[in-house]
Amino acid sequence: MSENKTETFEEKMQTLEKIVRQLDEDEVSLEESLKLYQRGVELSSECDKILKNAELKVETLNRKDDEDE
Amino acid sequence: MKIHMENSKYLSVGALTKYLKYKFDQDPYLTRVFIKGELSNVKRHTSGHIFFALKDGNAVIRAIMFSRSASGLKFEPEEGQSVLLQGRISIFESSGQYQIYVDSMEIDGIGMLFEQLEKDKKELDGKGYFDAGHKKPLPRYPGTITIISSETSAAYRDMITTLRRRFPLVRVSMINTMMQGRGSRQAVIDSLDYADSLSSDVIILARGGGSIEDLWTFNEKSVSLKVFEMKTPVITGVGHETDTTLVDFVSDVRAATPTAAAEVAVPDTRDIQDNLSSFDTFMMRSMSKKIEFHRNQLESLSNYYKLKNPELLYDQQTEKLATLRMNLDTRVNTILREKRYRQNSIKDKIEYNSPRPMIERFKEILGESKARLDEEMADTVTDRKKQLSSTIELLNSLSPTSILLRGYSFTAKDGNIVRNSETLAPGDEIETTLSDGEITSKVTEVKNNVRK
Repeated sequence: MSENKTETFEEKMQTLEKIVRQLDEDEVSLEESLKLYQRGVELSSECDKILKNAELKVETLNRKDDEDE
Repeated sequence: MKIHMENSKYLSVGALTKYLKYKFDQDPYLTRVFIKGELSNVKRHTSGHIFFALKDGNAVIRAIMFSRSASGLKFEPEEGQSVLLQGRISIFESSGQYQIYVDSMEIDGIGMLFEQLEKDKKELDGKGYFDAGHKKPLPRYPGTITIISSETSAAYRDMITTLRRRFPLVRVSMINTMMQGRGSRQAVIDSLDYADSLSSDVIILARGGGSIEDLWTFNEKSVSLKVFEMKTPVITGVGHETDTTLVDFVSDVRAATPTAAAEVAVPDTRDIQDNLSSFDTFMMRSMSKKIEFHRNQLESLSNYYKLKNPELLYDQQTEKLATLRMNLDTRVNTILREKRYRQNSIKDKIEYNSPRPMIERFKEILGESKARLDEEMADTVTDRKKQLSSTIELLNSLSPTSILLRGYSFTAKDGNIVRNSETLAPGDEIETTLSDGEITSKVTEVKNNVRK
């Protein structure tokens, strides 16, 4: 489940936040924690990279049913 | 226009109408009139012309506003509105009706508009359309935003700048829309409808400041209702900080300005990056805390006295085993004893019923019987022996030898004892046996002493 390229930025952020919360819980086993930590660091740097490379894309939409005057 | 009374004293309708139209058209008062009245029977033609009537108490005048003039309208003419208008009076020849050709028109008194606005506001509020429960939450990290605004406006440029600065990750779709004046109401509604169909994450409906008339589109009930019905979250940013329009009440988030709307719509990249680094720190700290915790746990576990003194682990078991073993032995012995006892009693019983004494007795009887038999036998033998010797004595006494010794002899012929003389004939050779030998003789004569 770790390498999902189609995940949106929002989903990545949500996963990361979930991981951070889970890491704070005591019930998580050490092995699981290590996995979570690894995934969390990955996600964090992925998100950072996405933000750094982001460029605003603007598209103008023209409605065809406009203009009848 | 000339009238030839000589040809005919009757005028055609067309001629009269033309004459009247001429009179209207060149009258200095009628070519530029200012009238106020109430709109009635408003009809929009597809070509953009507007036909209506202007009422005032009991009087009515027909009016037409051609599209070239109507396009400059700052409001949507509607039934019952009080208006101020300017135009010229003339006659429409085909119907023979005089009417006013409107050049410009404005709402008579903004107060009327506000009255209507207050009514609409109260109505929508009463229906609960302003309730927080109807407000759709905004996504934290929107992927797509649709902006409804005028492409050439400063408001639009401000929004794009803000979005680029704060969250360039978002994709913006722009629906260029007429944001003021006549036709803007429908244009905004249509754009909202279109924007909702794009299923973007957020819609921003925004325009910059302007006169109250310019902003009035956003006070329209129909526009507000459309905003309320939207499936996509809508952020409104209309005018300046001080302007609050009806759509602001029904939108999901009201921003004071277009720039503020763009700010509300997206998070700030710098904040996210701060967040990310604090996540990193947090995760790191959580991890080391966890490892520390486990290390401590491991340590305290390895210090556990039983691990230090492993024999403690099995002492109990050893003891238990010994006890068990002892119990087992005792138990087995008991069982054995019981069995042996039982066996003995059975043995006794068997012994009691044993045939051996009987066998012994029979053996005894047999012995006795045998002894008696032997005794009997011996007696019998002795008797017989005695009998035999007396018989032998008798026999001896009867033996021919003794007889011969007494002088007797016996004669035999061919080995056979001769008992009768008749068996002999003269000439027969006979042997006579005496006690000490034999003689052979020849018979010379036979005399029978017959007593036959």
